[in-house]
Amino acid sequence: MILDEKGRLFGKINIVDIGVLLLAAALLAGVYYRYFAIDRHSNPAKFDTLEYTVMLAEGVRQYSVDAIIVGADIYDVKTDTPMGKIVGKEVVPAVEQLTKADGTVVWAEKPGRFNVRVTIQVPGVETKYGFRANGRLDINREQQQVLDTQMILMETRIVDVKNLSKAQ
Amino acid sequence: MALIDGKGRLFGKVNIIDLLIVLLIISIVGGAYRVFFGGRSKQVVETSKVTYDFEITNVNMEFVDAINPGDPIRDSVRGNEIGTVVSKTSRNATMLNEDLINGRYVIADVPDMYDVIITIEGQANITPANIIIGGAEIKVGKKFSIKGKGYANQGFVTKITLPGK
Repeated sequence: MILDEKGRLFGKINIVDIGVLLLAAALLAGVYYRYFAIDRHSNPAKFDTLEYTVMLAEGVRQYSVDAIIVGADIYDVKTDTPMGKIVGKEVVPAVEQLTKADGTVVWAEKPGRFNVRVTIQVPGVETKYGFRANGRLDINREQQQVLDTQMILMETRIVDVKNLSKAQ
Repeated sequence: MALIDGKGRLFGKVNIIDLLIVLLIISIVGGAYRVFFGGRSKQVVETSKVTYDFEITNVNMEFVDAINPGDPIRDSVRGNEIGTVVSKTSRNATMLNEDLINGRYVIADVPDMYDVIITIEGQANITPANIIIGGAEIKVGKKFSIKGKGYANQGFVTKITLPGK
């Protein structure tokens, strides 16, 4: 008999205990996958150099521009694991479409506001499914990402990604 | 010997549920250690006084006047002290408005309202990833709710000055 009258599987262990055990194992596996697992197709020793560009939220002020330092390390916002390094910063005046009273549309500059593109290099892998920083964080265009350095925490949007190792 | 005996004990020694509970407790303790103490970037590499600017916008002059050097500042949410007021500066509050006749944006003063920048000094634990004062991570762009003596409001950290920089 698979289940006996006490609800034990093969008379050995309670089916509810097995359920609890499996749930705990699934939770632990999930935590491991989320925070520690590295792409199974990759080996950290064989990481390529990925370079991606993010746009800060549009129209930031000068103090945000000043806090982005080329050469600063970036970190995973949840685990504080080092991810890579800022290698470039491009700052342009913020402009936005404005519909004038006569119905025409112009690009109007926002005084004291800036659009910032930040270029970041990280070790990572390129697979047929995409790019993964440090083998575990997906990098996709149009994906939101929090830029976290020692000095700044800011929402960004990924606009470009490439594999520098392949480009060479 | 059966793997699990008639009393649900693994190898007749320990109850499988007890073992599971012990494993869960170890996981939770390990997870908590990792979150609060683990990882290279969590290690405090320096403890030092740090000053930072905190901007509160669009307040009246009574609010500005209530802020005084020496005031202890607390994080409204946690209640922890996150430094002491060193100085304050204020300027007219402004708004970025659309001028639809000329097709441009203009900065307009808001009458009788002010933006105040409070310079706060606090003892910080500095790690490669964070600057932590009173348990709060101080970062440019981070929104805080603070309270001082007789005033409370929300604002943003706008500048951080590390020792020797």
